[in-house]
Amino acid sequence: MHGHIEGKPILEVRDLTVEYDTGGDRPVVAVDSVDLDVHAGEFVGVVGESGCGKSTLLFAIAQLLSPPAAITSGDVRFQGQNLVAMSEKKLAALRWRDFSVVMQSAMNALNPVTSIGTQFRDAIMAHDEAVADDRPAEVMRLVGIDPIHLKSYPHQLSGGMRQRAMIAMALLFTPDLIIMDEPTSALDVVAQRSLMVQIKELQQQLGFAVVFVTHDMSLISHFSDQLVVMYAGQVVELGATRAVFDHPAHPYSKGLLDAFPSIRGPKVPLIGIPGSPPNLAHPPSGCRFNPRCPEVFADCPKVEPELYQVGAVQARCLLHAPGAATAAEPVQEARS
Amino acid sequence: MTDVSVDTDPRAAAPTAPLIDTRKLTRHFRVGRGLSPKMLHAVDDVDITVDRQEIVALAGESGSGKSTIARLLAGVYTPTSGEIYYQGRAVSSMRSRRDRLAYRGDVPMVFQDPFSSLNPAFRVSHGILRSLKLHQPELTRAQRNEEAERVIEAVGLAPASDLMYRYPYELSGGQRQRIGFAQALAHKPKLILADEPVSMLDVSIRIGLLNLMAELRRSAGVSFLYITHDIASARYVADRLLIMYAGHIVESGPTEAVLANPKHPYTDLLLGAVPDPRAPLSVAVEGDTGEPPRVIDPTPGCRFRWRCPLVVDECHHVTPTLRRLGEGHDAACHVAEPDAGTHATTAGQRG
Repeated sequence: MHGHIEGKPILEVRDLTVEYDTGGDRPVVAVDSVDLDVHAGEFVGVVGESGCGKSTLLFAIAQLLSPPAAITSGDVRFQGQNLVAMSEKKLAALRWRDFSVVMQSAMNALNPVTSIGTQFRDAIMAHDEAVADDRPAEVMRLVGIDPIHLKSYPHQLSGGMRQRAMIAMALLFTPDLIIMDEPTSALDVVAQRSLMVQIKELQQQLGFAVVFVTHDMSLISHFSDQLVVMYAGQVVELGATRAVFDHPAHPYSKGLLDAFPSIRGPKVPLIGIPGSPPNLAHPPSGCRFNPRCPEVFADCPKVEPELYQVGAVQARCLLHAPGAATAAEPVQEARS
Repeated sequence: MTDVSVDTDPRAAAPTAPLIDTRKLTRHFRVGRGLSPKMLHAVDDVDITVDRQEIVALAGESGSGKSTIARLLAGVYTPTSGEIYYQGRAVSSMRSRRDRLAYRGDVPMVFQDPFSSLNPAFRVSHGILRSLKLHQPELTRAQRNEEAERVIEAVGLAPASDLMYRYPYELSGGQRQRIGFAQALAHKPKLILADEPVSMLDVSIRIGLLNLMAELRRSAGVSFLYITHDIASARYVADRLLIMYAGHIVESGPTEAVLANPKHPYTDLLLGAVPDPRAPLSVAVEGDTGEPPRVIDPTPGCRFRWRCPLVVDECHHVTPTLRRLGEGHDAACHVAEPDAGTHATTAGQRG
């Protein structure tokens, strides 16, 4: 389904389900049967509102979930190995070396009482891998920070520099996959843009794949190859980023795209997406988006939609079900 | 939404002085201790005017002093120097408890983080009822409840009679922020200081709150000082846009004029960084480090000079002041060119 990059994906997520045991009669299904493929060197964006399960998905991929959350079914195959079934000891060897995670808040992810350099050394010493002594300085230069800051403590760096230091740490062993959870959300627009450009440059230079979670769809429009739109724990749209932006097939993706004003072009009144995301302990029947959907029709509260192929993208919407009377025009986009 | 009638306070009947007006407003903070005290210049010589029923956006990066201005206007900080005039009256001259209460009721603030600005131990109506008790002690308990219901409905939360008895954890982020606006509205305010009211919220519900601000301006006749780092949302709601950098206002003017024809190179940089999927990727910000400027004991000269692509010799010695460069459009830059037909004057000479 990801035809534009050849070869086997390095990360294959199949039917992944994560449940939070809340002590009630029904667990909260935060990630519901998600499939996701990431190829070497690919930039995959995962977008959705807060509470849609996007961060839980990332944590599940990295095997960082802690109770009451647990993977109840599905596989995460990374370079052919199933991470779900792997022991903590084997996982520890893979983390940092083969895949790394950049957390949302660098202020909380970095240890405030040791210097950046000490934290880098900790990560290196946790692995048997021989790493050149000047590697920490090298990765700091890669992200555009003077290596002198290896001696600095996190509070001595600005928000943007702390995020860059986190990314530098993620690059220590030149992993094949970096998982990023809203790394730019604490930054203002100028710092945000320069960090995005830098991530993209590093990716082109070093060839790692990125899974990037954000709630701001516009942020990744120019950076990601594949886009995954999540709603209420499910993937509702999936496809090449440009195709999703140009012809969003799911009403929710359309809503997200129309939810923010533009600084160019005519000023138009916007309405956003009315209502709020559903309570995952009691998701609406049928299509989970139906109570907020502007294009809802009679079948929506009754039939649970699957992911249907709509031109170049896939969408979980009954408008696009095969044989649906109201089927939209197929998208005639050639995949780049 | 119930219609909130425009306040007919007799003071508002004399619309000669602007609603709020600051002259050379300055706030410094002391950083460092002992033998090496240093001064952090958070806000320097800021002149801001907000008129009745006007939405003014104040934009700039983190650390530029936007929130300090809001706190100065709200009376949380006292100015190091300079003065705030409210309807022509100096705020520093309001000494009595009655005057200060009246001012604070007229100029309330809405905070950035709806998750920490509501007390989790009390029902969401608590803040509204308490401030009603403080500001309008003549109301009975029933009248206070009625009034709380009215403002909760005015911010688009229905049914108010149910929602006001819930706890903050039972509401979504967007709903909590609407409660924040309801608290501000309970005072029948003249100017609401909205300090990044939507930046903690999901993109999909931000627009609802921006629409609410426009609606409240129309129905309740309030003005807003909308503080944001998101220029696109500023364009959506604001009549005028002020761009702030390192404690100075570097550009001000009608929103469309500033966006269509930015005069200050920092405004250019800020506009180039706004992600816009509808436009091709701009390269304006390449090479910029995005680091905040130095404002601890600054030396004279333009504070943007280290990042500026247009820097000239003068920028290192002379601090630029706002100059009139177009119709109501000012910029503090030595290099900026005036619009054709506009004579560049010092903006301070305006009425």
